[in-house]
Amino acid sequence: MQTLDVRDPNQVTSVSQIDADLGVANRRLLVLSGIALCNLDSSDDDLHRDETVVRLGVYARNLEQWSAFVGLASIANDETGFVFATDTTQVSLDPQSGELLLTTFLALQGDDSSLHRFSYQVVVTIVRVSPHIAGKIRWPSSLFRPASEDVALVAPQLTVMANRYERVTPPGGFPFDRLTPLIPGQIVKVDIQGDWCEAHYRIDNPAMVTDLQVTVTPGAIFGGASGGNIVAGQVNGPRIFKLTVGAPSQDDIDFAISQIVVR
Amino acid sequence: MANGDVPTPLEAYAALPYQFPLVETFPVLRIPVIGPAPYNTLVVVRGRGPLTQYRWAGDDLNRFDYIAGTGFKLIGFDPRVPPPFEHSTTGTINMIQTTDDSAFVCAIDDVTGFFDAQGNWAMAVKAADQWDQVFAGATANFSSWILCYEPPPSPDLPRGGRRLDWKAMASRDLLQIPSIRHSLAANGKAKAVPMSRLNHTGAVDSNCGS
Repeated sequence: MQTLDVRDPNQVTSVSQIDADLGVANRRLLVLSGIALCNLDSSDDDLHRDETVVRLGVYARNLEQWSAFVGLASIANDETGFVFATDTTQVSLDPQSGELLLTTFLALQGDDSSLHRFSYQVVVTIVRVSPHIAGKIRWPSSLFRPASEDVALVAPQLTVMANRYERVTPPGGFPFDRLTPLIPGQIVKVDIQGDWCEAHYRIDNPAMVTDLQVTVTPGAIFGGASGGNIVAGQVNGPRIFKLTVGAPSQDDIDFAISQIVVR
Repeated sequence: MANGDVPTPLEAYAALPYQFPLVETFPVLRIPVIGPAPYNTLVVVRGRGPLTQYRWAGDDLNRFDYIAGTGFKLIGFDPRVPPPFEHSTTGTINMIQTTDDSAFVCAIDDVTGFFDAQGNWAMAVKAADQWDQVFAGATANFSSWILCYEPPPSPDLPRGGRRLDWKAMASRDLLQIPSIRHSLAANGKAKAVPMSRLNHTGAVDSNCGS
């Protein structure tokens, strides 16, 4: 069995998707199309069968209806008897992540024969999972006091990012944390209360079933000319967490921005 | 052959064992949707196009791009304003044939959809084929789902008349094209469903099978 992912253009090409609102309780009609690069080869007279799973990159809580159309897209044969087939196909949800999966059984025969690509078009009605991460960023107004609670004044000064977290141990070396930026967050609200300011952020559709860590990077406006290092530290919620179809959101990942002055 | 040793596409078509239909129309299905904004219509349309260039093949891998037309024209299209749309489009091999034993490659490498300058939905296809020295033919089915906006019809629009079955008319009219009648008669296939190289309007399509 091989697994292909629509997020990798070397595995699936011509990827296109539409998402229509059916107007009924968060139900969506999705049409997902692409050409999967299965690259099966045969160099003997045996009949070869293979199961290919395409990860479709859409997450759902409930798969209500589906219809999948699969066909040959690229085949080759070297003047021998041959079989090229796309057989049984089904659409399902990954039980862990809720990602839509297209499973197709292929058959190939010929000396030589190749089934390089197959095409698919999947129509589903689903109840979407809308995963998100949210929290607050708090700082003393002495570091930066915006002129008003207008989000546009604060958003450029705060970079919020959901990162993939990995613990890497190089051969013969010390283990270290590796963060790979995946998706940025948005500042959605700003409060100014006395000597404190607070920005609320939200990250929509972060990766599921992936170890995540949120980071906040303050802009140069924080601290002004007062010197010292400006840092944002996490003060609430798990540092590393994983979103699943059963728990698709994580709230209250809060940060505090402070100034460290070394004397 | 009309041009020395080089057969015309029509001659290549006539030499094939399976005289597949070249005139096919596909319905355009319009489904009202409430969103996402600004879309109010979900359209389903299919098309068909060639995966060989209908010539005497010569062992070479031959890559070619073409545009496959469909019967979907966006209502309210204004060429000065690019229409908003989202689509999901794919294509598959639906027929393949050859006149003799041959190694071959038959491929749809890439397909996408777009509105042309007249507001017609079309698919842009990257294809490839390779055959030994045979006559060979292959075609592809294409399918698009399109989210788009179409204004509702005005209540003041005059109504009446009836729609014509242009598919039947096109098939009948094709038999009146002398070159088609000649080629089919020369191959003893005058009763086969004709036609080569017609696009959805019934006119000769220079993108198809040239």
